Amino acid sequence: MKLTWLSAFDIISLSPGFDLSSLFEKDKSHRSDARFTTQKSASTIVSRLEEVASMGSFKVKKKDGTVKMQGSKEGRKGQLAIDAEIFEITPAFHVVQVTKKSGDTAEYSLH
Amino acid sequence: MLQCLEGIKHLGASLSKCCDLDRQSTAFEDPEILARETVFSVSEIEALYELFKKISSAVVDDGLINKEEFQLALFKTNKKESLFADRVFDLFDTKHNGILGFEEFARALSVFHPNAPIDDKIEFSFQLYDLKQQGFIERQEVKQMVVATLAESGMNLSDDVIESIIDKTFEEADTKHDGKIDKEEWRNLVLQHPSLLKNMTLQYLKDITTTFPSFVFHSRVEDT
Repeated sequence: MKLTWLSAFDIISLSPGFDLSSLFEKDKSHRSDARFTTQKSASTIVSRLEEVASMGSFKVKKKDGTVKMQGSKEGRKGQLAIDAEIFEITPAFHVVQVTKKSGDTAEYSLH
Repeated sequence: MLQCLEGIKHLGASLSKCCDLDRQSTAFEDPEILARETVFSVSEIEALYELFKKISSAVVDDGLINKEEFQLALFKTNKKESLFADRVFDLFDTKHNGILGFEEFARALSVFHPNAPIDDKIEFSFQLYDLKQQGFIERQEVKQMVVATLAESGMNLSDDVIESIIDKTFEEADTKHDGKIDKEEWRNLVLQHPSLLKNMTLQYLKDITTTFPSFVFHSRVEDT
């Protein structure tokens, strides 16, 4: 899977100090995106995501460094769709950005 | 004839708006002026003011945001020091007096609105990264920011790896090959990689009137 390579400025823009959106968020748990780092390889990350997806009956599509997951059950606000974008800093160091694309935030948090 | 009546109705509405403001005793200049000079509408300015009041009263209730209150609003804790939060605060603080009044707050946030001109965002982000404010971004400044970000996020990369990431970045960005990134080079870089400006746009600003309802209603219901 072809991944997006991060430049120094991409890394800098990951800093929470530069992210003013927290001025508006009252509660971190209602964020519709999350970011985490991992030292696993890209293929391990993808397999793990696929595992999680199958446990929650999600359909998985892979495209350009993003694993797209679509829930098959109708939730309160339609189907839940989650994107997990994988960025490579070095082959042994990745950042995964998970974003809710549609559906109910509460259901998303559960996953 | 109908147009005349419409005109009078609008005039009446504007007059009552004026009077409402007087009764409300705002601690800042007329929202209409701020609305004219930023991308915000008058109701957005008022909603922004509600946010400002919340942030500025957190530690000292003086209608101004000090550095501690800013950190609190950003990180939900005042125990966190951040190179970047300091930089952002300094850029907001155009009067350079260590505190943010509502005008400074509104004018700075205007740049983050989805409708703000991209040139403003490019300018602001350039100044943000120009730590020593010399008019160019030096390699040393970039390294300092990368190291600070990694430390903040608990990520650990060896110095070699960091150096090679910066090498690659400068290879692409420093087209004049002078070891520095000037405004023009920065502009070219972000125009090619728009995601570098993603922190410069806050979608929340579009919905601010619903997130922070102000209790003075100025919106006129248009009769169809």
